[in-house]
Order: sequence, then structure tokens, then C-alpha cells
Amino acid sequence: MVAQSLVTGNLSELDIPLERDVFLRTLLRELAGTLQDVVGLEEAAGFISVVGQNMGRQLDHDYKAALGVSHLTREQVAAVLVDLKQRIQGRFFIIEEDDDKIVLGTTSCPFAEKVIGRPALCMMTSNVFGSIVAENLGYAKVELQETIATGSPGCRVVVYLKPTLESEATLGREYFQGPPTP
Amino acid sequence: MKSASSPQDFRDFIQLLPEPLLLVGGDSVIHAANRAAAALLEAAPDQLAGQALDAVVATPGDQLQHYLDTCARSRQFVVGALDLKQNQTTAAKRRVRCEGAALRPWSQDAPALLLLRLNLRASAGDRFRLLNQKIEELAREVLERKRAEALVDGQREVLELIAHDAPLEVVLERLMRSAEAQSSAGMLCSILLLEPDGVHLRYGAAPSLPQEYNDAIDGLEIGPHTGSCGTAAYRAEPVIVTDIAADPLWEGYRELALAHGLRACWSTPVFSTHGMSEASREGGAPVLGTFAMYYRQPLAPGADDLELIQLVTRTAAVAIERQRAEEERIKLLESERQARLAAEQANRMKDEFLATVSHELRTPLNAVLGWAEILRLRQFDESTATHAIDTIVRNARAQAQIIEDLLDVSRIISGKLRLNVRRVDLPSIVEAALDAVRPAADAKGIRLQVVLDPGAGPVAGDPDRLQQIVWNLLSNAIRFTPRGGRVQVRLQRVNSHIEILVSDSGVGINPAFLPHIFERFRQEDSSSTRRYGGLGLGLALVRHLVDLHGGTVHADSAGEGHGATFTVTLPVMVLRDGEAKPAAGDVQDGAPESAAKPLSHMDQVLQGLRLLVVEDEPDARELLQTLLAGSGASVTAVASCKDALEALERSQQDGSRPHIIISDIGMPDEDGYDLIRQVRQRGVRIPAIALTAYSRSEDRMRALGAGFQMHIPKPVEPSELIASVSSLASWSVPEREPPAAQRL
Repeated sequence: MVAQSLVTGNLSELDIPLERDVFLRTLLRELAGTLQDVVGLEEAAGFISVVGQNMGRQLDHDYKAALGVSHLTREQVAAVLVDLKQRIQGRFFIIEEDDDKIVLGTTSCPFAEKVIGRPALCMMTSNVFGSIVAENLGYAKVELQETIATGSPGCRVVVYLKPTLESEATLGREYFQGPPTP
Repeated sequence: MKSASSPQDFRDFIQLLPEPLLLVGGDSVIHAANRAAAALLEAAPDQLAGQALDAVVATPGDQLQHYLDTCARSRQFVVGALDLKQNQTTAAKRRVRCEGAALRPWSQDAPALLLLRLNLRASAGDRFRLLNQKIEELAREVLERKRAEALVDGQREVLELIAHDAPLEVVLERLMRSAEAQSSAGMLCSILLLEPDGVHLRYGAAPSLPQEYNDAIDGLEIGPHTGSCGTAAYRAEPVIVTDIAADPLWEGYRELALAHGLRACWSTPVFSTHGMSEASREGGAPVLGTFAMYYRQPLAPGADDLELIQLVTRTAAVAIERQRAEEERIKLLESERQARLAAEQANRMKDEFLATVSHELRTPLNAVLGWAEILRLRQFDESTATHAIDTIVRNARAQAQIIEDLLDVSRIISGKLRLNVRRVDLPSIVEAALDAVRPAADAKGIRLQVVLDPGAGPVAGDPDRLQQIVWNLLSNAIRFTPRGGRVQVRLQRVNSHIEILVSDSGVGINPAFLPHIFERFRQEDSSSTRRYGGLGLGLALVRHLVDLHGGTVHADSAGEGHGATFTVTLPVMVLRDGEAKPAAGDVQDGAPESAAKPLSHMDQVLQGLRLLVVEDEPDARELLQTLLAGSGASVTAVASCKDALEALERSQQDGSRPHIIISDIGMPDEDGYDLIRQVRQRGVRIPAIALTAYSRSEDRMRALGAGFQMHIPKPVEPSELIASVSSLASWSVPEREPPAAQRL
């Protein structure tokens, strides 16, 4: 009886959509949304960038430690970008790769449906990619050509590896290598 | 900015801009500061150049470096906050918003070159404050909106449950949980329902309160000091107790509540929705129950709480009333169904009865018609013809009896049956009934045993109907007893009742049918193949008639094949002391036993006497006249005192003065006392007898005192009256011829 199941304490059997992944994604969505509403998209993106940069640096360090190298090559960088996304269920793949740029694409976002309407969260990708690439290859400019957040069916991300005419013409964030770690 | 421009270019550039700007190296050395920045930092521009940033910024070193590193990696402005030292000697700080970006990134040759834009405009602080405010507002709005949504969702769920006729407990529980979900302070709520007696509250729903507590309050009696709920129901108004530990209303229940950790209790009556306006609430919209909100800490309600209470109590009222309406409806339906079943049953019985009646009427009619036809067509020898005629007569009588029975039942139903009540001598009634059934008993070889106690009686009743009762029982007994059986009649006095028992050794009565045996139209076997015929009215008539006589009848049987006994009890008549033996009632079939019998040897005792009889009741007057005249007297009978005086007047004139006056006392207008007084006033010394129903000794004394010579109470024995008149005459009428020898 309905009443019975409400009275007994076994809430863990109830069908409620809550677990850590959902919770955290929702949290980020809400944070980003509040920021967007309060300070505007640009500034929100700016705040999230700082977060993304820090995370990117950490991931770069983790991968290098795991690979046992102090420096990643361009091929390794591309592979790392794909791998880290795979691990967090954003299934990125390489569309194009050359000395000037790496083009990546995906049809699913690590934030899943929580990203829709929250373009600020894309700054995570931009900064993670940008800082890993810049840290290893000296420079990166990340252009988010298409994003699920703004309604496209998939994402298309172009990472320029050096300033070129092409890269100059696009809208994107530029990343530089930081000071050598002591 | 592709090329690595020189710091100098930048230095010149920043001087042109009004906002506070610093050129800082990635190693946190200030390269340049413009005038606005210098003013902000309370130093001269050239003082700042070459200084470490942490000389003017209080932000901890590692934090600062981290920020600068982040700026160095990004072309876009990175927002941060820096605490500025007020001046270099004091430690006081001011927080500024800082936006930094790399003009030139790190390279192997040189640290990054960063542009820091500082912002201490009033609006900067404001913007942080504004930011915080905005976030708070937003958070509040979001919370409000979620609460409102939850409230609406909760209510909608509850209303849907109501609309789908969910059981009341389920609805109320969902309502309680929905209300609790609205509260952030750990509110527990409950609904108690007021019993129909209007005095006791019973558990409705309280899913979060401890079961022990709920059990303890279940059945709470309402009153002026019975906690929050009991008092609220009693007063029919909300009772808010913010601290149970201190409030006197909770005196009797304080320990109970505190033991379960309950500190505050706000209770509101749930009012019926019929008449929800304030005005009619005064008049008292009925209280259906109470809704209470409990808290584990002392607490007073806020505006939101009051709104919630309104909503919940209104919804609860709807649910409770709907359930009650539903219960009513089911009850009504059930009683309708029962009534319909009863009506159908009665109808069926009537149909069966009609079928039986037609059959029973037709059967004797067949015999009558059949034999009559035959007689008409042919000549028969005498014995056959006699037999035929006997048969016709017998069947016609039987049919007449059926019709009489039907008419009797009809009279009883319409209340038109009247009893002719008199004193009745039962033994002769029983004898008469026996005489009527003897031929039928003889025909079946059934022995009739009679045990009559002659002292059993008298009763007040209608002799015809009493005989009908006995005859019905005897007929039944004979009908249901096979050849060679026995039927016994016993008449006996038992305490203050007379019992008539009719028992037989016949087929008996099925115990299942026994309770229905006196019902109209009921027969144990009413099928077309039934053996015993009849209408099934006999016993119903018996019961009705016995009822009308103030008695009872019941039936006993040891079961099928074991015979039956019917017992009629009638109350004994109350006799007055000194009463002579009661007169025998008229008997149906025999010659009427007239009252004249005992008088046969008193025929002309009153010969030669002139009597004046004064009696207003016509039947009584006629009786007296007949009686006295029958004994030889010459009787003048009048109906009133006035007529009597006139008659006396006339008799004075024509010399036919009566010898004795016999007068009733109780008469309209002028009574017997008035008469005798007036007679005596005129000096008339005629002896007078008061013949009256007023029979107490004071009546007797009054009569004698008023001027009567004798007082005889009614009803009087005719022989007694004659003897009294004769005796009085012999003392007071000297000229009268002596009567013949009398033998009383």
C-alpha cells in the first residue's frame, strides 16, 4: 500500500534520480547558470576559465607522471585530449591534425544534458585543452566552432598550435606556456 | 599583439588611460604604474617602479604568484581580487578587483609581462556587494519558486488522490508529508478527526510523529485545557503554543510531549467547507478535526506558516467531507437495496397468496357447480341426492368461511375490526368450538381430548372472536393430524392468565418455519402440490385477534412428525368483591341462553306495582323496562331528571303515582341526586332506589343521604333488582296485594 511504503524507512529503494555524477553535474550547471545570470556570460566564462586552467594544469601533470615524461609531443597531446574526454564520457575524436592545428569533435558532452543553455561551461573544455596544449607546445588558441550548449547537435573544437592568419581570423581564447616549474 | 613590444611602449601607453593600471612582470616586479594606480596605492609612480608587488599588496605571496601565473597564461583578462596595503607602514587593507592579462607571455628570456587593471571605484565595492546581493536574491527566489512549485505539486497530488477516491488515510498522509516538505525547520504535522459524538478526537494521519505519541493521544477528549488540539477543537479556533514546556494548556500532556522531543505545537481546527465565510464561522461551521504543526524547538509561526495552515486545513476539509459524503451514499444505497428487497419479497408473497386464494375459492366452487349440474341433469335416488346436497352445502359453507377470513384480515389491516367486549365464560366458548369441529375429527378418526378447568375465567372479550380463535386452532390441529391421531384442548388458569392449549400428534412444524408461522400469507408449503390446502390466514387471524384481546399466542413443535402445541394466554378479568357468578355470553351455534332463565320462577313478582325508571342510556333503559315489565310491573321509563319530574307531576294529577322510583345517578344536566332532592323537596315520599355504577361506600352514603332508600351498584343481577324492588315495595306499599310466594 502506498501509505505503507511512505511510512517505512527504506527510502533507498525509491526511484529518485540522484547520485554523485548527476549531483555534481547539476551543481556545476547551477553554478554556471547563476554566474551567467548575475555577472553575464563573458565574466562567467572568465571565472570558469580560471577553474579550467587550474584543472588543465593538474591533468597535464597527471598524464605526464603516468607516461613518465616531462614533456608531451604533438601526437601525445592530441591523444591525451581525446583520452581525458573519453574518461569523463565526452566522446571526442580527432577530425583533423597537422602542425598548425588539431580539430576535434564529439556528439556527447561530459555534462550531458546539463550543459544546454550553459555555454560558460564550454570554457572548461577550452581551458583544459588550451592549457595542456600551451604547456607542452608553447601556444594554443582554442576556437569553439560549434557547441551542444548553444544548440548544435555536436561540438567542433579547433586548437590552433601557432598564430596563423587562419587563427587570427577566428574568435577564441589564447593560451601561453607558463613559467618553468621549479 | 604579436611582437614582443617593449615594456617602455606599454609604460607610455598606460599613462594615457584613466583607470589604475600596473605593468607587472610575471616575477611580480612592478615595471610601471600610471598616475591613477599610484594614487590608489598612495605612492608616487616612480616610487613604485622596480618594487615587488607584495610591497604594496597584502595578498599572501603564494596566492599572488598563482594569480600572476594564471594571468600570464591568458590573453584574456583574468579576474581576481587583491588586498592593497593602505600605506606601506600600516597593515590595514583594502580589497580591490583586479583584472590581469598577459601582454607578453613567458619566454626563455624573460618573464611574462602583465597588465593589471585595478578597480576601486565605489561601484567596484558595490559590484561585489551587488554581486553578493544578487546571488542571495537569486538564491532566495529560486528557493521560493521551488517551494511554491513543491506546494502546488503537493496540493495537486493530494487533490488527484481525492478525485480518485483514494482512502482517507492515504490522502491525509500525503497531505501531511507535502506540508512537512514545505518546512525547513523540521516540522512534524498531524491531523486528528473529530468523532461524530463531537467529544473525542481520533488519529487521522501523522506519518512523522512517533507512533507511541500518536497512540497516547488517540481518543483525546476535547476541552478547555487539553493541549493544543483538544483546546482548538473545543474553542473552534486556532491555538498556538510556542513552548509546550511553559504553556498551562499542556499541563496534562506536557511530560508526554517532552518525552518525545516536541516543544512547540500550533493547532488549527479543520472547519467544514459548508459555510466557510467568517460570519457563519461565528455561528459555528462544524469542526471536522484539527491540523497541528509540531517543532522540536520552541517556535512561533510566521506569515508563510499561516498561509500553509490555511491551505492544508482547507484541503483536509475537502477530503474529509468527500469521504463522509461517500459513506453516506453507500449507506443510503444499502438501505435502498434492503427496502427494495423487502418490497420484492412482500410482492412475491402477495402473488403466491393470490394464486392460493384463487385455487382455494375455485375448489369448493367446483364441487358446488359440479354437483348442482349433475342434479339438474339427472334424477338420483334419495341417498345420492342427499349426499350431493350435503356436499354442495358443505363446500358453499367452506367458501363462505374463506371469504369471511379474507374479510376479517382486511378489516384487521384497515383497523376496522371491532370487538364486542363483555365478560366471557371460556369453558362454554371452548365447548362450542369443539362442537363445530367434532364432525371433521370423527371423519378422520381423530380423538378429541378435553381438559377444562371450570374455574378458568372470566375474561373480557368478544365471545364470537374468542370462539373463532379456538375454532381456528382446532381446525388446524385436525387438518394436520393424520387418521387415528389425537388432538387435545386444555383450558387452565395460570397465575393471572388463562391459558388455552391446543396440541396435536400431527405432522409438526419445521423449526426453521416456526418463527414465521403467524405471518399473513405464509404457509410452510405453498406449492401447487401442497397437501394441506387453506389460505394460510388462519393463524394470522388467530394472532391478530389474540392481540386485540391483550393476550399472546405462541407455537411449539419438537419438529417434523412430532406434533405441535399452540398456547393462547389471555388476561383474567379483575373481579370486584362480592360479585356473583358472571353471566354466560351468547354462544354461536346453540340456542341463545337468555337472562330470562333464572327468572322463570319470579315471573310476576312485581305484579300490581307502578314503577318509574329514570335512565339516560337507551339500551339500559330498555333493558330495565323489559325486565321489570316482564316481572309484572307497570313501568314508566324516562330519560332525564326533567322528564321524571314531569311524569311525576302528571301521575299526581291522574292518580297513577308510581310506587317506587328507580333512578340512575350519572346523567347529563341534572343527575340522580338532583332528582331525589327535588322529589323530596316537593314532599313526595315515594321510596327510591339508586341504580348506579358509582359504587363506592361514599357514593352509597351520599345516595342514602340524598334521599334514596336503597343503593344498588351496576351491573346488577336482574334477579337481585327484582328482589330489591319487591322487598322495598313490601315495606312501603301497604295497599299492594301481597305477592305470590317467592322462591329465590
